This record gives sequence, C-alpha cells and structure tokens, in this order.
Amino acid sequence: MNQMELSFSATLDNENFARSVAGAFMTQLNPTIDEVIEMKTIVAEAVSNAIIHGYNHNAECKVMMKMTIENREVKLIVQDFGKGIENPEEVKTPFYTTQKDLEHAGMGLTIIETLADSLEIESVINIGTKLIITKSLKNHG
Amino acid sequence: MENSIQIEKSSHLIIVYFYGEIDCVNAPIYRKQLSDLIESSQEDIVFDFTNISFIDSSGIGLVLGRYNQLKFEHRTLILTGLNQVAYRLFELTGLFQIMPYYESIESIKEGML
Repeated sequence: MNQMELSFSATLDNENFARSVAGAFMTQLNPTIDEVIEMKTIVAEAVSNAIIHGYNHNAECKVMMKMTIENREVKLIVQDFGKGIENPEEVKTPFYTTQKDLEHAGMGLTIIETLADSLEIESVINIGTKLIITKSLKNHG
Repeated sequence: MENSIQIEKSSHLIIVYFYGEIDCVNAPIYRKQLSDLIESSQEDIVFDFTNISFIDSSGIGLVLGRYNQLKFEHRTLILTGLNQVAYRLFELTGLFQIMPYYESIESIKEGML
C-alpha cells in the first residue's frame, strides 16, 4: 500500500495543482494515458465541487485530498469542511446544478461516476462533504 | 502547451482552435472571448479540440453555453478533435444529440463543399 495526503487552499487556481499531483502519484502503476486523464478529470470535478459548493470560493478554507494505492486500485478521498449537502443522492442526478447562471453543466458527479468504479458521498450540513472514489486500473502486459 | 485559443475566419465558417487544457480557471475566460466573437459575427462556428489534453465539466458548460447562444440566432456549432476520454464525457452529456461532431477539420470543410 502507498498513500499520500494533500491539503491546499480552496481556490480554483489549486485545482490544476491537485489533478497534477494525482496524475504524478499514480504513475507508479504505469497507467495508460487515458487512465491518467480519467483520474485527473475525477480529481478536477471533485476538487472544484469542494471549492465552489463546499466553501463558496473562500480561500482561507482548506480542501483535503488523500490517495491510496493498493495493488491496482486507487482510492481517492476529497474532503471539505464547508456547508455540506442536504441530500447527497439528489446531487448525483445528471444536470443537477445550483448555479445555472454560471454555466455549470451539472455533470460533475455524473462524470465521476462514469469514470470511476465507485462514488460514495458522505455529507453533513455545516460540517462538510467527503467524496470517496475508487478506480481500478487495468493490467497491461 | 500554453492554454489559449486561436480564431480563424473563412468566408462562411469560423474555426476556434483550443490549445492546452480547458478547466474551471480558463473556461470563464474563453466564455467571455467566445461570447464576444459570436456577438460580432454571423457565421457557423467550429470548436477544434485536437490540441486539448484536458477538458472537464467546465469545458462542457462552455460548449453548451455557446451552443445555446448560437442556437438563438439559428447558427450551428460543430465540434471536432476530442480525445477518447473527452468524447465519452461529451457523449454522456448528450451533446452529440444536439450538435454535429466530425472526426477532423478536413472532413468538416469537405462537408461544406
């Protein structure tokens, strides 16, 4: 098992940083280019959700990202300590968005569900939200 | 590759070439640039993603927003050059049901002849 943990300010400028770190950490699994793009996309959606919806762009707050690699499975946890979600199941609905005017497609969690093997959302109002995501990489030769 | 867009105007088509990555930081910048472009032109528009290494839901939002803006004026948005992962995401969103997708710029130009 190999693990890393990252804590960073809740600003969208750090979203690129977070997905780059995730991409770099998983290189030890010798992933395909598509698998790296998929993981980076998952991280982008999870982290931007935490910054935008969890913290409403308050850069004084911190987003926590934790990655665990075991065999060929990557477990990703993205956690904020922000406002929380009332109904975690409802937000998984495709095109669900609270910010239509900002051109959010409302597809972030649907994208995560498509690219990952599993997505679990733990959320408590005013305590925060935790996304637990797993993705197994293929064995290539 | 630096994140940027490049705009090429021909007689009846505007091609927007995207470079680098489209994420939550640069999508709003492109949104402004492309909205202005649409407002100041009358042609159909092509978005070419051949040189894009990363695009997430903010990119999808950007495309949907410009589609709606063009549709209002009865103009067409054509997409091309998505990588395999991005293609899957666009397909998932149902974008190909409302706007045409071509394999390459050449095939779009051939289709126009």
